[in-house]
Amino acid sequence: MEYLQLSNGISIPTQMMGTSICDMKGKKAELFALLERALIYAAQTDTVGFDTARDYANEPLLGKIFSKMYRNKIMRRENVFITTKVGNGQQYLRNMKHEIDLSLKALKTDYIDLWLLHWPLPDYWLDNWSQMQDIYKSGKVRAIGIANCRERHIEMLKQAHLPMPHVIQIEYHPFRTVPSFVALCRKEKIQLEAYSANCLMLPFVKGNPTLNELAAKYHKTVTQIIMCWHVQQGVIPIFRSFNPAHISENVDIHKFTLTDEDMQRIFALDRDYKFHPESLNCPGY
Amino acid sequence: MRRIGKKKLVMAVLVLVLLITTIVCFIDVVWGIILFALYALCLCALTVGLLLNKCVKKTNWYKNLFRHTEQFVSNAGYRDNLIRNYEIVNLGSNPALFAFFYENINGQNWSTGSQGLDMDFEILKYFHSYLKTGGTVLIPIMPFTSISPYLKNKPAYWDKSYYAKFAKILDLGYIDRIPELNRSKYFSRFPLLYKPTSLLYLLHDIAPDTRYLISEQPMMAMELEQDANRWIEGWLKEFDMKSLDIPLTEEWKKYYDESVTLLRSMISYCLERNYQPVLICPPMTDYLSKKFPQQYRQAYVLDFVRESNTANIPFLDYTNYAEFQDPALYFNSFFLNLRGRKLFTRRLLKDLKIQ
Ligand SMILES: NC(=O)c1ccc[n+]([C@@H]2O[C@H](COP(=O)([O-])OP(=O)(O)OC[C@H]3O[C@@H](n4cnc5c(N)ncnc54)[C@H](OP(=O)(O)O)[C@@H]3O)[C@@H](O)[C@H]2O)c1
Repeated sequence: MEYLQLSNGISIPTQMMGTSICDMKGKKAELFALLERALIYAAQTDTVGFDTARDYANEPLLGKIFSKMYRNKIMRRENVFITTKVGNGQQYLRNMKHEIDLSLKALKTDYIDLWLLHWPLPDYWLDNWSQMQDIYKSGKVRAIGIANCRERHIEMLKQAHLPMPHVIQIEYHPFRTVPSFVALCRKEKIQLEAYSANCLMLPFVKGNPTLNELAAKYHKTVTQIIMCWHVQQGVIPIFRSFNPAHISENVDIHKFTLTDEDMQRIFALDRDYKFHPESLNCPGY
Repeated sequence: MRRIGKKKLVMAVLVLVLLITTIVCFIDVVWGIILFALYALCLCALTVGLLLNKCVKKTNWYKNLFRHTEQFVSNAGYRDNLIRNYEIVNLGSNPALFAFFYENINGQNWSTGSQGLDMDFEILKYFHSYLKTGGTVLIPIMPFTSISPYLKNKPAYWDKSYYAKFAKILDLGYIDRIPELNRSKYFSRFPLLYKPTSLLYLLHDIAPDTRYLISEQPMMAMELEQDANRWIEGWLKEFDMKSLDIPLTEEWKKYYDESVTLLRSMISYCLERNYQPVLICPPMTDYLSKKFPQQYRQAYVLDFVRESNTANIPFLDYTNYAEFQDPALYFNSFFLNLRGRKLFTRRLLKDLKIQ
């Protein structure tokens, strides 16, 4: 796995794997088993960055799986990069110290690598963000950030004289490229993470002529073209797959490079398509 | 998670009840039997209640309440619905429901029927991410919008069934924070519990609301005149006014200022998120429009818009627009019919240079 460096100097893997099973249909026990198998497979194929959140309701499960993997020497804690997020339900309580302790306990770890506010929840997030600064200083988290941020939130942070996040996580893929926001993040030295990095491989993504043409040209799959496009521009894609073949495919992208022209062809697919309408997850957003 | 928690709770209660009954049985058999009979009765009542509730949900009365909420795709449904980036949406109450019809454009009517300005704002806050960046938000201004907060003094107009439709389409966690909505949270699931008189609709149901489908004017000139009078009388009664010749007194100013603040917040909310808000008065027949004295329109509509519109967003006033004076475009004196709705929306999109 390759790494990038955050503005505070810590290393972060260039790709991450999502662990959310909230939207998946099926029996809980079966989904849990599927997730466990996928995580073990991912760790064995050198995927070391994992993304979760309190609202995915799987922190305790991940805690168990991770400890089992440490015990069985599949991976070591210091080689894994764990991201978790604090949800709106918890933000309403305005007690970040309590929330990080709950996450640490559930994930069976002494520190979180990256801790994010899941949403800039109106009326709450600035206060909670400022509490997160103290937790960052305490060493319980190695980096902090905000998911689902927009330009206006960065502006609000500036006005409140609060530090910039190390990482911002947004929905980002060839069909949503928010160029001015990306430029702003670069200017502020904020590392961008892309969730739903494959745009869930929706039918219009799978069947997109440009992506398929490029896949044929480079003898790769559509997801590999997308993953490579992310990594090549310095954005960290968070993909999710519980299918071993897909996991291998998604991380096997380091032996080819897209030409500048092909990168631009992918950028040109942008139509500001948000699969996750943010305001539904965070009213007043 | 929450569901498992509830199931466990129900099981625990049942086990506890059974335990108590068994203990009572051991102490005194007669009381034990009485207790069992009581439980059996409760269970029967519950089953009958649930069955009746199910029947109530099949009545036109119930269906009419939620008829215009189908277009909203909430958190639970967006994964199966891939439509995004609306170019235009409108808020507003019944006149807006019947004024806008989007054809050949990715647009959506966000009126649920009767809908106050405050609920317009809640809907906007919850659903706005479906709009494309730069998309247009039509905010309808009706003759009484400026003083509508007055109706808070009249809870009869805003009972639980009014809030129920908003509680149904907004997020449960979110509505927890809005007291009025919270009280109606489960109305859509248990209408019988919230409104026991709804049982009467099982005996004598009302007609289904098919107004949205009407494409002709069923009223003659005299009926239109009467209908316009009925609207005015209804509003005078609602707002406890003797006539529409009243100046904007201190009493009214209080409510008026509340609306100004709300409308300003809605406008800034849109602008901060890069949407284009547009204030709009949809057309009405002149049977109705001529009933509003000029001073009333000036004070309660035009001055209200001027005062709220500090951001100087477009304001389109079609109230007396000649092109839409033909009563054949309406189905009463106030609401456009399907044909009128299509024509008006086409004209509006042209005026907005969207089509
Ligand atoms: N911060 C936030 O608000 C937020 C919101 C949403 C998501 N996220 C994070 O982002 C993660 C990823 O999001 P996502 O699930 O939308 O990711 P995604 O990778 O864009 O989409 C996942 C879908 O793509 C398919 N897929 C992945 N790789 C594939 C391949 N090589 N070939 C064919 N199909 C492939 C998967 O199917 P298979 O399983 O069959 O491979 C799955 O159906 C989440 O798990 C979560 O951690 C964060």
